[in-house]
Amino acid sequence: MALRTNRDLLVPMVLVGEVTHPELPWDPFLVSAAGEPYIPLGAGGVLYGYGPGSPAFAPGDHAEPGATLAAPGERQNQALLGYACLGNPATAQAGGRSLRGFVCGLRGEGRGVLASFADEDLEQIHPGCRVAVRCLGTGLRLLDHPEVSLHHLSPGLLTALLAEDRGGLVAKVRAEIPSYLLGNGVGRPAATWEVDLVSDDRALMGELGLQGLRIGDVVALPDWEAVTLQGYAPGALTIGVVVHGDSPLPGHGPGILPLASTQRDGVLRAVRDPARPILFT
Amino acid sequence: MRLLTNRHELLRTGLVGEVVPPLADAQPYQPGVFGEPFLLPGMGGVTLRRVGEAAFGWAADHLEPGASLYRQDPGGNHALQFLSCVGNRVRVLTGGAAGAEGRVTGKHAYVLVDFPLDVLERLAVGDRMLVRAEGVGLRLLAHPGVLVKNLAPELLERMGVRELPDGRLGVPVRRTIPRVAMGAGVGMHSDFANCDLMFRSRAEAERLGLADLRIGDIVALEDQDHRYGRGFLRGAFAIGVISTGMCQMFGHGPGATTLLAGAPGTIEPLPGPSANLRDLIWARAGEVH
Repeated sequence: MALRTNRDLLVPMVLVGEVTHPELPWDPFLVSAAGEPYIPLGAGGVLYGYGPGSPAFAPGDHAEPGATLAAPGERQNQALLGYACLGNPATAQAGGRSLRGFVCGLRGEGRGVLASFADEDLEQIHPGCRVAVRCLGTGLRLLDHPEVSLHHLSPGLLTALLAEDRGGLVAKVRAEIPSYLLGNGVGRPAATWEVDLVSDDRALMGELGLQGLRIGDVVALPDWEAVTLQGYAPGALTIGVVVHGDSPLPGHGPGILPLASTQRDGVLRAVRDPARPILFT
Repeated sequence: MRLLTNRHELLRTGLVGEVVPPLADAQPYQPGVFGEPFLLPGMGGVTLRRVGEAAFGWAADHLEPGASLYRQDPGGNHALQFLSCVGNRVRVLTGGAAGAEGRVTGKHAYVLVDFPLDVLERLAVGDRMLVRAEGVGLRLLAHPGVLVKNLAPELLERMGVRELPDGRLGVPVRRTIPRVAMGAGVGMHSDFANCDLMFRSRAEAERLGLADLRIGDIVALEDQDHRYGRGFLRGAFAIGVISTGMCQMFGHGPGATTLLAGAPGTIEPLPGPSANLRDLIWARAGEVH
C-alpha cells in the first residue's frame, strides 16, 4: 500500500543556481586530525568521475559528488538549500545544450546543493554553468505517521526510503552510526545542514563496518534527532543518506543528510541490510 | 612537583576589545529542544552572572557570564579571540568602571571576562578593555602528547595538575563529560570559542551526571581529541572549562573551552570536587570578591 502523503498540496518551484568555483584562502593549508598541514581539495565546482555510488572514504576533503550549485547572495542560496530535495530534476546549460541531472545532496554552512549528472554530461559542465532545479518536497508530510518528520525528500523517492510495517515505518539501511560519532553539523538546522560522521578514529571505522560506505548509501542514526535542529536524543531515530566524502579535519568526515526523523521510540525502525542499494537506483 | 613548561619563552601582548552589544534578528524566535519557539537573553553585553554560579536554572540562552568582548575589525578580532587565554588579566580602559581588574574565564566567539558584581553593574556596551594576553605557545616539556590551549600559565600552575607514576598527566576535574554529550562545536577550532554539551532536559543531564554543573567548572571530555580541532579518538581526553551556561537550543548547552588536549593515554582525570575557576583565578591571589 502506498504511503499516504500531502504531495498533491505541494507547489513546485524552479530555482536557479550556478556551478561554484572552488575557493582557497591566501594561506591554503588546513591541519588534519593527525596534525599535518594539507591543501583541501574536493569541495565546490565539479568533481569529474565522483558521484552516487562512489566511495565515501575517498581521498580529498569533503568531496562533493557531481556539480555544486549556489545561488547568488546568502539568502537566495539559503532558499536553494531549503527547497531543493533529493531526486529533484536539475537541468544544466552547457555548450549550448540542456543536460538533465538530479539533486543528490547538499552541503551545510550555506555551501550549496549537489547535483549528479551522467558522466558524459558532467564532462561538459564547468564552474559558472547555470543550473535550474525544479524544487518539490519541502513541506512533504506522512498523513498516517505525523510523528515522523521528513527533510529534503522528493515525493518520488519516498518509497525508496520508507515502507509501512506493523503500523509503523521501516527503513532498510546499509549501516548504523552511533551518535557519539556525529560531529560537525550538531546543533545546526536539519533543514539546511548535513552532519559529518567523525572519522578521526580510523580503526573504529573498520570495526563498525563503515569503511565501505558510498555516496547515496542510506544509514541509520540511532538516538539522533533531526526534526528542527540536530542532536543526541535517547530513543529518537534518524534515517539519512551519505552526501559527501571524508575529511582529514578533526570532527569531520563523510556527510549524512537527515531525511526522516522522529523523537519518539518505536514509530520508525531501521533494518540493517548490507546489500541495500544506494538511494538513487 | 612543579610541571616543567616553557613559560619563560612566552610573549605577553596587549589586546583591546570592547563590550559587544547583544544582537538579534528580525525573526527573533529560535526552536527549543522540543521544537517550542523561544526568545531569551544571554549572549553579548554584560550579564550579571559569574563563574562559580550554577550553569542551569536560568531563563537564558547561551548564557555568557560577565562581560563579552570583541573587536569590530575582523583581523583584530581574530587576534583577540585566538590569543586571549583563560586566566589572563584584564583592565577596563573606559567608562564607569575604568581601572577595574578582571580575568578571562572563557571564550565563546567573544572573550568572556569575570569581574566583581559591583564592577559588572557599572560596565556598559562599548566599554573598552585591555587583555594582557599570555599563554599561546605554552608547552608542557615532559608531556609532548598534551597540547596546551587557551590557558594562561598562572592558571595552569594553580590547577593542581600533576605527573602520575605511570607518566600520564593527572588533572583534577569536577566532572567527566560522556562522549554522547558533545554537541555544537565538534569539528571547529579548539583554539577558539567552546564546544557545547548537549542534553534535552534536566532529567537527561542528571542521567549523564551533569545536572549540578557550574559555570567555571574544570571538566574532562571523554574520547575527545582537541589537539588540532575538536575531534574524536578513543582514549583521548580534553580538559576544558565550562565557560557558558544555560542554553535552550537543541544540540547546544553549557559550553567547554579547551584548556588541555591530550593524545590517547596521556591525560587522566582526577576527582576535583572544587575544581572551579572562581577559586582558581581569584582566591589564591588574595583577590576574593
